Amino acid sequence: VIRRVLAWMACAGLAPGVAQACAVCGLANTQNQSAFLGTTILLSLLPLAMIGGGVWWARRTLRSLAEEDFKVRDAYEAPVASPVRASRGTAPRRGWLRLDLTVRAVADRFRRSLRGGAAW
Amino acid sequence: MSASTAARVIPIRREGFALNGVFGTALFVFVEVMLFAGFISAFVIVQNSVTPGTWPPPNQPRLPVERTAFNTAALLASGVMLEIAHRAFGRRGLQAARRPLIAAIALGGFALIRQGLTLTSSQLGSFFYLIVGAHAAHALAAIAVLLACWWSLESGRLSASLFGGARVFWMFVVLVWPVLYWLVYL
Repeated sequence: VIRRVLAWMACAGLAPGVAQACAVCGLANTQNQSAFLGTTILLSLLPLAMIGGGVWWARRTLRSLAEEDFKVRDAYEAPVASPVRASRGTAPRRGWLRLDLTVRAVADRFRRSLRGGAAW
Repeated sequence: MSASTAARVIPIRREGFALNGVFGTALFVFVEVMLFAGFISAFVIVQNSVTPGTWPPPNQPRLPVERTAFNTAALLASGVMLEIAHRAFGRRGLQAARRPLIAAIALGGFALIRQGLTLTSSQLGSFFYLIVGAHAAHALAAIAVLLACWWSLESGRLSASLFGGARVFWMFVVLVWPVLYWLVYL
């Protein structure tokens, strides 16, 4: 597959003049064509670079926030709760228990990914 | 798992990873960057489509390169002052940001007024007016936002979200200008 793609790219590279379809880049001016190529590269890569920068910044910020969260969590001394009673009034407590277990599972998975360098 | 362990509730913070004002302004700046990239691209293509050696067009007044360089320095200094104000705001509170914020507004206003004078004294072409005029409009809007920040600071209710968003917008205005200066004036 790679050979075929390379062969097609080589064939396309042999006839770049066909691609000069618009009125601006079709002018017989090398300087103008270079400007057209350069600005095309600029307009193509600029949004990708900005999106990539935003993702990188968000990832870095989330990592630092997660590290602070884990420090808070590890240092937290929770009061010992009373045993869960099987009555009608314990339904919210069971809900909190499920939420607690979910949060801990997600946090542990995130921490493992940070330690192992794997993608979250 | 025992009941005592299971009942432990972890106080994990549930804040967003960015302030709303900063995030919204960053998205807006993303769009603005592409707007100016389009202007710059069109300008560069038109600039290179003329016969070599005929740009700038003959019989046109020369652009004030030196005076605009001074302008550029004032704008960059304004950006530095705003950064100082933002750091002071984060570390030492409202009043510590007051003086550098006023200095940033003054330097930005100075650069904008001189940029306006440049705009009316040159006739290089439509692109010049489009690009420099668009930047002047953005600078005017950014200074209005900075004045709103100053007003909020004076009344003691300047929020980190507003100040952060204004900082992002002003930094965009400051940092895009040297690129425009290099392309249009030099």
